[in-house]
Amino acid sequence: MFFIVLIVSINFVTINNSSKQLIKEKIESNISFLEQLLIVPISVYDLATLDNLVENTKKQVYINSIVILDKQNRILSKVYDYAHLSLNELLTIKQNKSISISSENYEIRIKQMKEDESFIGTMYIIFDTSESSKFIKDNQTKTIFIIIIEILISTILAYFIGSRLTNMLTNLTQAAKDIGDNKQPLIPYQDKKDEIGTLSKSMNKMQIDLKTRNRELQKQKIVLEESNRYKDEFLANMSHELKTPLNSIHILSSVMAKNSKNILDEEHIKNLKIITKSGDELLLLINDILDVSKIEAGELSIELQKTNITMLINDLYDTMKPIADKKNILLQKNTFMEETIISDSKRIKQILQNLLSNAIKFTNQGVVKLNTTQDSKNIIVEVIDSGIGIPLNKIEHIFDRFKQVDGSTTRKYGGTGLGLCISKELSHLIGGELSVISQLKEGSIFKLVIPKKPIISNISDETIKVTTSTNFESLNTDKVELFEDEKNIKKEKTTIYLNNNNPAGFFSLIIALKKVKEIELVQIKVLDELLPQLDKDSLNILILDIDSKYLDISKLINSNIKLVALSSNAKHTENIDLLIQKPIDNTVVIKAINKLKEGYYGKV
Amino acid sequence: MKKVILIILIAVYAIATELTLGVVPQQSPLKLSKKWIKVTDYLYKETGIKIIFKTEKSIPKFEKELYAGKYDLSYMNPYHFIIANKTQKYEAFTRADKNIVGILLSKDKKVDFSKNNLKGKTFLFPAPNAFAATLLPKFEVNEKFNFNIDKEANVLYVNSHDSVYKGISRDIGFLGGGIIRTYNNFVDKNDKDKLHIVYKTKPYPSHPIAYHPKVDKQTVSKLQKAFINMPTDIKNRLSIKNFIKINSNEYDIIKKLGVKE
Repeated sequence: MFFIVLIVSINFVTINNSSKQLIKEKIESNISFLEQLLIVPISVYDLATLDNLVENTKKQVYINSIVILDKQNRILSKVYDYAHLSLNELLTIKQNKSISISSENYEIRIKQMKEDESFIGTMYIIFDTSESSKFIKDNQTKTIFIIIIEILISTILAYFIGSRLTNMLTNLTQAAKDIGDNKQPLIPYQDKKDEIGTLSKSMNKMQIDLKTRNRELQKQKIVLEESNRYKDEFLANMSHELKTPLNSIHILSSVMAKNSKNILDEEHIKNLKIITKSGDELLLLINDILDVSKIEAGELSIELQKTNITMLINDLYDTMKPIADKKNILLQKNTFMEETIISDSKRIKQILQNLLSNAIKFTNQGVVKLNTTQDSKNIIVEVIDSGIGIPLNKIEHIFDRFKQVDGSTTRKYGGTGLGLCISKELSHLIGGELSVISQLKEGSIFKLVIPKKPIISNISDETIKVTTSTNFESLNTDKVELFEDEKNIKKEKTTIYLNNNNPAGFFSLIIALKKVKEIELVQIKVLDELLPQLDKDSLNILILDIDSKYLDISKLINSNIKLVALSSNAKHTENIDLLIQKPIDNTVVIKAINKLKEGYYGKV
Repeated sequence: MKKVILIILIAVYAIATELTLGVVPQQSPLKLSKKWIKVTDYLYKETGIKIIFKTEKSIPKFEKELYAGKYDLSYMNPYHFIIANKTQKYEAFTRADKNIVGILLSKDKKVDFSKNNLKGKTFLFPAPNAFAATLLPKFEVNEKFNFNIDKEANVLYVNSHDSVYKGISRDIGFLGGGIIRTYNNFVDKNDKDKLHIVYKTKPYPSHPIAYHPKVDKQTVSKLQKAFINMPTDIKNRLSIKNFIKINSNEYDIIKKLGVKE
């Protein structure tokens, strides 16, 4: 709009100027023409001719008045219609003049006429330029009117086109949103030939491309998920498979190292201890990896139970004290009022043990403190060390997987770099929080906040269940007895027969079962040994590995014996009372036995 | 063969009897031709004499042709006739019956024609050789009041009778020469109201139609008769009431005006 007004203004000025120029030229040419005509009649006083010329000239509408004077200023001829000055007043004017009175415009011109350089008279001529001015003014009014109309029309058009465009764009935006929401909208305006049409076509093509890509992604996702599941399964299986022989190595080497029969010399004992220690480390590593893979799969669960924090701390202190002593590090703990909370003691212990072992590991001399406090809602356990500390730029990454402060840390201090990551995840799992503050070369404070009552919203339903123990130390604790605290289980003795056709595989299970008071374990080599021994008045349970080799269990049918089969592929499950999926988990087996006592059958 | 010779003879005769009529250019040639072609047509019809109308662009050119005897017949003013009569022996044979009177005009009602009063005053005349408006007044003022306008006063020749009348009215001159007819026709009321006729000359014979001596007397006689019997409508076109039979002696009075060759 601004440009229209600008252009029109320029146009006005141009028209005005050129019009003025034209008028000026017209006036000049009229004057010089008239002068040429008048010179002879004036010089000879031919007044008739003079009158004739003047009158004829006056017939031009733009000439208002003409007065001719001779050299003595006598009026030779005149036609005088000018109303705004008397003739005498006009004759007093000595210079050209432009006069504008309301809508009338006049140009007064005075011309001294000469013939052969001698003055012969004066011509006064008044031009009426009102018509030209009126024409310009009319033109201006018309143009302004046209501009207003034009602006109005263009505004209306712009409004309609604009709103139509906005409408179309809104529809297209909605379509784009729908595409984003994984809907499959029909893209409008594809038949249009303008930019909107191009946009619609592009959007349509994008939608088709997106669909194709989504399908491909979906396929890839399925493939990936499958392979991931295979990986997880593999990892879990492998870990279990690795753990079983390791357990055997550990137990056997530690038993042998005791040298109870005094047949080993110092060298042997030392080597056996190295084997035990290496086995321990390897087992820890496998446990870490197994935990991480469970975290990844979202399968890590917690087991809520009454937990005595003071006892837990004391246990932990007792466990870690020898390790600290070895490094000449003072391990301190504060006295803490006995407090029982509902949480997962195993996970808390796992976290704190990890923190403590880190603290001891990264402290070369000084003190590691285990400081326990509480407020109304939480138990707060701080592990304070005077170790190497963590640089500021690394502190935010220390809970990331496989990250120690730098690559050299692993080489210098050992460890997988998984501990803190697992601890952090576990802290969340119990509804708590793990945080750290540290100063380089001064030490670190790791703070574990444990809610006294688990905040259920923080813990998904799936995680609250009785679950497997993967910790090595569970073998050495009275963990299994906890079941008896929780459940009202018959306390009579149960005879468990174990078809020990896989001594290495069953080793850890045998140890675990032997620890249960209510169980009497009888190991058999072949099934035929079994039948004569069956006690008809009590519950008989046979545990057997059906993967190892084909076992003919048909003979056992109809006898009062429950069959607990261990298998990795769940084939040949006919006549089996309870199937336990491999790898063998001691707790699961014990739990299964308890279930059978309650009359449960099926698959665990 | 006889017929052919006869036709040739007639043709030669026809060529031989073809006469030219030169008319003084007092008006534009076109206006003049419109008036005078009617006259020549009439004369041919009446007399069988073929007459060719001729005029010139200006009076001096006309005078030159006339004084060289180029025209067989000619309509001219009395002053031209005196000279043409003297140089080429033109003889007048008819003229309009009216007489010419010159007048002098002024803004004053009465003018004192004494030498004292007129001396140094400005006189306006249409042209130096205008017979009635210039020559007659100059002659009579000199005759009657012993005042030589050319020598003792300023003279402006302003091209036309109307310019004289306007010039007097607008104080360009004190006295101006004219004739009754043009004064009567002068219509500019503003100017005319201020004018007064202060002097009238004696009547003088008007423009003659003369013949060159090479034209034979019989032809002249035929033409003279035809002019006198001219129908009224053609005469009206010439603004002439009647043609009368005259001879050259009538213009002797003009010779006294002191016309110079």
